[in-house]
Amino acid sequence: MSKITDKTTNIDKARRRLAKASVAAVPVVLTLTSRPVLGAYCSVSGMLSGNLSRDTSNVHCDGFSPGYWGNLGAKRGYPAPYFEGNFIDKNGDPCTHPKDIDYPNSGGTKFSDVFVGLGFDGVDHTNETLLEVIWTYSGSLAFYCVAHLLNAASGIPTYQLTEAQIIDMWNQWATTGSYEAAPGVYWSGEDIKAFLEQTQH
Amino acid sequence: MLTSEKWHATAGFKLLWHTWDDESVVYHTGSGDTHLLDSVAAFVLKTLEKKTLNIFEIIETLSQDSDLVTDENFHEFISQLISKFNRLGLIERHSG
Repeated sequence: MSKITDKTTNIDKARRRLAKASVAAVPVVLTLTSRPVLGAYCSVSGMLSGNLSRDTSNVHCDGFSPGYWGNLGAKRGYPAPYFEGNFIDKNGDPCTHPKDIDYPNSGGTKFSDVFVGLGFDGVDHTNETLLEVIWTYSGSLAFYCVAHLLNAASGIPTYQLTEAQIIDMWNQWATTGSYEAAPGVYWSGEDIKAFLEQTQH
Repeated sequence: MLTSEKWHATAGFKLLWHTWDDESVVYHTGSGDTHLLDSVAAFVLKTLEKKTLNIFEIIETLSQDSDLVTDENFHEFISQLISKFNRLGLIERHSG
């Protein structure tokens, strides 16, 4: 008997909570994104000239992470002219998760349609799709460059890098092992990754 | 938004929940974003994890489980909520 009483009390509490919440004029849904604690430099020139002279604590470049472009971003569709590929698995059946796509036969944009295919590290992405690179080479420079190419093509108001800049970063690195960010200033692959990473949330 | 359109949680990704009294946070594995929801918003999203419903069906489910007054304003409230969930990628239209 006491168990029944307890259950009833719990239900009433739950009903009260919902009733109380309904007082809000608009639905309460707040997104709690993780952003760089120290703010960000959204452009190459800003990164080179800013350093300690400028407070960037409130600057957010709002690029999406590679993880987004491998998951929900792929599901929602890549920005034109890029294509994530048809959601068909290796058995020819429709699939819902981007990691299950049969990439070679998906019709997705190939990495080498945009970038130099062969990286300076010797990894050849020529026949891989953009989405496949994200799922196969987590943490690599190719993984970051694909994501930021898509950020640049997305028209995010606060995102300052262009598709041409991202392509140039990769292509210079792929052929020489570094990117000339300014005359005589060379970034390694790790430098490029660090820069791109602080422009995303 | 058509009121006959049916909605469900975006397929292929998980929602990870933690709830304190009137508030919940939910982590969406598809976007990597975490959202803070009030109890009504959390109830609706949890319902759409299990079922595919249109706005009328969502309101009916809510009215069965609460003392909420489901008038015209409430319909607008739920429409806004569904639009917001859709924008955030938490739910998608049922394509069937």
